[in-house]
Amino acid sequence: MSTFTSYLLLFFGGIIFVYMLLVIFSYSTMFLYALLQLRKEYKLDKHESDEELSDITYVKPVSIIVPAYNEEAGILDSVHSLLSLSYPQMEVIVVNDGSSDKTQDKMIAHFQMEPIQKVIRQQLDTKPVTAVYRSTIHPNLLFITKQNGGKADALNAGINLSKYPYFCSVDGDSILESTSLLKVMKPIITSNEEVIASGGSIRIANGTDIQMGSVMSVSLSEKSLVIMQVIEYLRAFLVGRVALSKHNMVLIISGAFSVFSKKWVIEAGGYLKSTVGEDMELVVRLHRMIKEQKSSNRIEFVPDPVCWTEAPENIKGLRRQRARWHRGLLESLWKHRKMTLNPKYGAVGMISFPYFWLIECLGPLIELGGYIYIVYAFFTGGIYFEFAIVLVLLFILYGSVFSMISVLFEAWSLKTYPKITDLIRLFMYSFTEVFWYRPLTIFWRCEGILQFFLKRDEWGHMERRGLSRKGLEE
Amino acid sequence: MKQEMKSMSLISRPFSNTDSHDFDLLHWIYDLQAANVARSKTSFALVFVAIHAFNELLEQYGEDSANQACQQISEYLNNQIRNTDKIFQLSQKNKWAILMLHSGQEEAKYFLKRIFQSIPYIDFEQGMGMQMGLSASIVEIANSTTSYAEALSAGEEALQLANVKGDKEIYIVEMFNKPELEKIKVSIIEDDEVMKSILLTMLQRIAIDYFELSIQTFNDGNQFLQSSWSQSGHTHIVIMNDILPKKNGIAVLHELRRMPNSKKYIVFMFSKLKTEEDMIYAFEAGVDEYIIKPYNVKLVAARLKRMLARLR
Amino acid sequence: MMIENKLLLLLIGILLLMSLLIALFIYIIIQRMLETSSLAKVEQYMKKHNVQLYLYLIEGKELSKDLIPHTGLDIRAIEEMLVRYTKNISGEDVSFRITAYIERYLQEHYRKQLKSSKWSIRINTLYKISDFRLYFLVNDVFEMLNSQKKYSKQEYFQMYKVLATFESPILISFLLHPKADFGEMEYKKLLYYLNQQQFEILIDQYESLPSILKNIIIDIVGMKNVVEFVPFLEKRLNDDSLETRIRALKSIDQIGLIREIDLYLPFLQSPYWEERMMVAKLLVHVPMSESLPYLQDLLKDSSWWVRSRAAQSIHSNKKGKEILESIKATTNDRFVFDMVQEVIGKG
Repeated sequence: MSTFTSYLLLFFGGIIFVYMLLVIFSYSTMFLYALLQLRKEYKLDKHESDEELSDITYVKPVSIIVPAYNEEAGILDSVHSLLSLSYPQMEVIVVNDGSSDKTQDKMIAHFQMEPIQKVIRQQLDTKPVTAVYRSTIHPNLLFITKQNGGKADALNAGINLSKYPYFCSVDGDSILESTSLLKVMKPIITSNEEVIASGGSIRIANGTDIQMGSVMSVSLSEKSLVIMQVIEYLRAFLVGRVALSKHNMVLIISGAFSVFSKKWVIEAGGYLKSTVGEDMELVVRLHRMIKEQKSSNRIEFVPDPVCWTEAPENIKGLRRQRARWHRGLLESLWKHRKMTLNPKYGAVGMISFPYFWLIECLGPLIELGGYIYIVYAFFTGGIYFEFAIVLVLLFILYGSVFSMISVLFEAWSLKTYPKITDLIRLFMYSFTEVFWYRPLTIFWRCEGILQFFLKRDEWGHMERRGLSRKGLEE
Repeated sequence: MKQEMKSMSLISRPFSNTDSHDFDLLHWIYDLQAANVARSKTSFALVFVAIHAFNELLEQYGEDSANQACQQISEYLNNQIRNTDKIFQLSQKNKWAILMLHSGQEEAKYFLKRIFQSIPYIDFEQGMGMQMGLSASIVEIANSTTSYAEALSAGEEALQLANVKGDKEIYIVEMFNKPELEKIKVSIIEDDEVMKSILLTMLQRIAIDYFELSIQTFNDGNQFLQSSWSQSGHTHIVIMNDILPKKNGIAVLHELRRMPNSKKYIVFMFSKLKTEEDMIYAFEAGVDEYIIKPYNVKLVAARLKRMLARLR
Repeated sequence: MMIENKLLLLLIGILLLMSLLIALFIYIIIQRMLETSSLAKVEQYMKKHNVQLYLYLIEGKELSKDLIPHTGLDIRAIEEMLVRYTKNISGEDVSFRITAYIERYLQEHYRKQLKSSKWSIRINTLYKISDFRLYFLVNDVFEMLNSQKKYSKQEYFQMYKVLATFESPILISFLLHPKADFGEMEYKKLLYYLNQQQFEILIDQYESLPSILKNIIIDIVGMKNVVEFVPFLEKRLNDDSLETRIRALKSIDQIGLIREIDLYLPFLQSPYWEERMMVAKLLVHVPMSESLPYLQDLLKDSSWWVRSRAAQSIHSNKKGKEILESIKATTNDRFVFDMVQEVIGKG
């Protein structure tokens, strides 16, 4: 072996090593932050503080927008859960984005929809709306049909129709709890509308008993792939959200459940149609607007578990989802790349952007390199062998230990899963993450990066709306 | 089955005697009234009257005088009754039954006391005469389950007892004067256990006559609508929250109001929403009472009682 | 050799960390199990005692001896039930009995909790003082406010809220020199509790107040619907700040008393659509014969909001629909037509 290759290997190893330390350092910091935050609120009577807000005198009315494309399986449950929300003033707008299944028939029959005359104010440009219906049972439930134009387009159409100053986007297959909307509006209300967007944390519904849009009992799925995703969501929540939110640095609030100030979103031009990550892109764009207008507005993340969503149960679905998310992330970062390390954009530009670029976006490439390095080193042996072992240990620390800590957090503070056996299973699985699940997701995310470069002109018409982003992008 | 056999034999008795036609009529009116009792919720009374010490009269003055006495008393009674009352001769000629519509035992008692005040003095042929005595029994019928035969036999038995006791004695049969309790279904739909128990206790402690509340509780709108309990031919009070899991209050209301017997449902809905708009919509959707949370338990109980009183 | 040593160290470190995590996990699991069983006990207690509590709170029967709390779990269960009562059940007698119960059995418990070192417990207790109207703890709160100890913003807010709930006269001086940096929403909530007398004191000092309080006072006057303050609001219409003027218009609209229409006419030409829209809304409170010419003008406004408001104001009148129909028939303005169409279609 030439000295050149050995230097190269050493160099790569060094990069991976430094990267690992960086990640471990930043994760530890954020974990510590989350720990302090959660410790403070430990045993706080949440019910009490929510109750206080539900007074109509302070509450801001909200239009809930549900984009639906071929959602016949879940749309009724989802709408039921929205109608059972405890919120003083709201309307629910379901936007049928040219579905080819029975979404429309089901909605019209089940909620006794009747067509109404309505002049829609075209504040955002969308594909034509074909009809507007109103439920005769629930006068605050509207249903509109439009030509297919993608999720972003459907959301924009919903915004055009909405009558309230805030809108909440909810995926057509998601279930909310009755206090969810109140909780996610809380930062907006208490900050006296300083906060212009806020997102709730997402939980995986698989395994949980949901009937007609109500969560009856929570339990963990039997499928290992789902369990790993539960752990992933937990970790993403602790790492990416709690700490960043405190300092107005969140770049991702999940599209599955978030509220926005309509005025701001319309001023920003609505959801962008040419990306698969329209929810993240909008948040980044809003951050950019805030900073460019030099205003003090904020975007927050609400730690309470409030929105339940279905996760893919097979490899194929998960692979597609992850590749897509990663592409979306990359698109958003790329589109607003000039914010990176730009002091004009404050903490978002100086901290969030580098963090997302380095750790979230390019991380998979480096990690993939790490895995290859280890395999290579095992075969070549020698001096690289020891180095490879160091890397393996760091991988374990980084992959599994943080996951285990996340499960600890869940057991101690979040308490989503009431059953002890579920917790033990979660803990066991979290240990195995680094050996099989982590490499898989890294591979899929690298695929996403590849897609970003190869297929960038194809997305517009290739997929309309596959599996939506559910608020996970560690 | 046994009951019916008994009544058959009882009915056959008057038939064998005279005036079977009269008895038919009494039976017919009785059944009509009894059926009406449940609906109109007012009772009626059967008053049985007999000439006191009739056997002595018969022995002392002979058959003709006795017949004359019966005749005159019958006329006297006929004059005394109200227009709405009807008098029937019983199988024995010294006994009568008076059917008093829309009257309970208290009214019957006043009626008898009035009669007893001026019982005629009867002159017999040979210049002899006698102050007649009367004894009576009252059967108030306040429920539709009492059969004609039961009422008749109880009344005659009581008349016998009164007669033995003496002149101007009244014996009241208390067996049939309790109105049958109407069962009213009450459903509480509420997902909070504490609130559910407050409503349940409130209902259980409401003091009401004539009604028996059979109460069931449900956690959500769907559970209620899916249960066979929710189907009602009779009055059914539904007390629920507007925000409920699965199916919310308005959706439940909508389904109830679409049923053919929707008028049987009386709906109380609790809500935190206090704008006029919300209330108007709830009433238009068909709630009977819209109660804003927090609510006063005593006030809700009073409203319920008022509602029940109107159902009587 | 060196790298091997370090490796060993790292390995040991990771193993130690993992065993620490496992130990922690076991500890948490045991805690959770205990927690589950105490939750079950609380449930059971509630089930067993809810009728007794009902008899005491609603019917005013003598308190059953069973309801005297002995353990921490008893307290938790009773608190839980009492909270449900205060949130869902009204009635002076009920809240009086709740206060009486706590005064007798839980007073010291809460007093101790107020001094807890845990933030969440202190906050929870402050909530309860307002909810259960624990007047006997107001002095404790007052002492907390006067002490040198630093509390969090949320705690200060809750403390002020306690003072507000009990209409304490000291509140105003605290409001003028708050111990925390409150936002508009917090002030709004606090001021909302003030009684009219306290409110008048604030209004007398209006000019000297910080601007955040000024605006909130305008809002609250509208929310509380106090007609006596309309002249005060009218004065604010000449304020230099657009924000203040809009808020004053909003509050006057909420009260719905227009004493002099001339005061509002200048706003018809305002360069800001918000002001024009507010006038369109306000004109509802004026007889249609007077307001119609202005509303018709506003119907042609360049802003959608103003047009929409104007159309709705006309529509809300008894003869509004007719008037709108005739406008629809005669106008050749596409925007006016669309707006009228929508408003009529809705009704």
